[in-house]
Amino acid sequence: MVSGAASGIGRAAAIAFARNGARVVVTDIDDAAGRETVAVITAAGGEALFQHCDVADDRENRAAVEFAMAKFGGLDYAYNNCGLRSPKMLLAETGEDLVDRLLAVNTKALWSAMRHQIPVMLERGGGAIVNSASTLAFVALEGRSIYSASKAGVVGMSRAAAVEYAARNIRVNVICPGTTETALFGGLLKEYADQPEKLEALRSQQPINRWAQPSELAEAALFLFSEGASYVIGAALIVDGGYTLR
Amino acid sequence: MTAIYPEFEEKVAIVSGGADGIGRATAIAFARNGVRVVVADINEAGGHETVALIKAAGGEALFKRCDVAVDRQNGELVAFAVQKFGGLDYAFNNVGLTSPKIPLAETGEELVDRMLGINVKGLWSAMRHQIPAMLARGGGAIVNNASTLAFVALAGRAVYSASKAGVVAMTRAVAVEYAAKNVRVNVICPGTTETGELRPLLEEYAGQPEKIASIRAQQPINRWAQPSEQAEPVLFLCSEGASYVIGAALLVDGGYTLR
Repeated sequence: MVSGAASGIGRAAAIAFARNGARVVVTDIDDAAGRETVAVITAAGGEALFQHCDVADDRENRAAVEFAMAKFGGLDYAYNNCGLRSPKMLLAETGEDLVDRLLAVNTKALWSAMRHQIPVMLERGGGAIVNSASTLAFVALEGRSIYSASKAGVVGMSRAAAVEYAARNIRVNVICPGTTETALFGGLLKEYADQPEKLEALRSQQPINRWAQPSELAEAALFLFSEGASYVIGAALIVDGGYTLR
Repeated sequence: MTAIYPEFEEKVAIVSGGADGIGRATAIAFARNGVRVVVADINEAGGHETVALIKAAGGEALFKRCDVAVDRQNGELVAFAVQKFGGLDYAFNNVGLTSPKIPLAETGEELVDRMLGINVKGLWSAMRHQIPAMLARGGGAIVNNASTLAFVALAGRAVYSASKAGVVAMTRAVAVEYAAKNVRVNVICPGTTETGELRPLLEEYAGQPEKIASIRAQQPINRWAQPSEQAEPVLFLCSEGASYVIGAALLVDGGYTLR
């Protein structure tokens, strides 16, 4: 199961999963684009189904897991990739509504998603969960205080859940992506389209001197799901081209 | 499932400390994926045995004796890889010195020098020869081996911990230096792994299964790692799939550092 799979990293992960033979439940609130992800997978000979899911709604998370059970007979892997970004906004200017929404979608929703995923994995004898945090769980950026808190919460919750279920063969890890060329990022590129030197300066903030492709995050997530990561428990894998190192 | 990395075919890797444990497991895993491996160690018999295991399985490997504490030998090791296999793509700098448990104030200067000489300075020396060879080839990937003790404390391991924290910090710095030149440097931090070094502990408590169980339960996953479980993350970090993973310290510890 891959949430937020209508575009970007989620779509790339769903496609990579399917290419490796996994049957994928693609979830998102964007039905049209979610179905497009399924179509891309199906066209390549893979197996996938779309299920609408607002991760902020506990009932819908349960329904998504039940859908996977009904259609594919179980659940082995869950990539909780869905997250809400916010406009840049200083802490004292951020309204309560936005705080509630960020914490609901990024943090509370993760509890909700995992609490439905874990029991069905236990039934099956084990499984693996990868959650999506951000480099901003570790480093600061002006105007992102609540987002950072919500993503630090993702890391904290992943680590604790990892300890709770490690001995029962459910591995929980978290991936912390740096700036990735997704649709969200396209806005920034457009904004500076006629200022190549500004774009260059932004790019060189990454030691690797480029932004990530969604597939580069997808491959890192797939490793964490694989048997090769059998002793990797509660790790926060930073996939950021070196951004947090400086 | 063993990860299959098609891009590894015909590539060349150096694995130091390849005579046993995690190093041997990694050399074998590399070779299984088509990498030609230079197995380096000061233990010649064990190193040759690793090579024999690889060859018996149809892989390609050569042994080269190397004391990583001697800069000249690190240079010779890289020259050997270039001469025998035509270049260098990957290096797993796995060799490291562990110490008997000994409180800081009782640790003698000689042991400190030896620990830092092998674990920290040896890494500088190894990488300074590896990186130019990789740059000459257009890029490469290095994985260093630190320890969970770079992040958490254990009584009697102060100098070892310092040396391994040095491995992490050096990795992060060198990763920034070469990221844009297509040499990726990362570090794994293994938890307790069932290598030869764990054996004395298991023997010490051989008649006390409940003691062994309680030590095992210090790992949230309730078991120790197999060497192959450290090898697979090393392979991932060298692979194309990790193309945006730069200077990461990947904890492979069964959750040990989480509590």
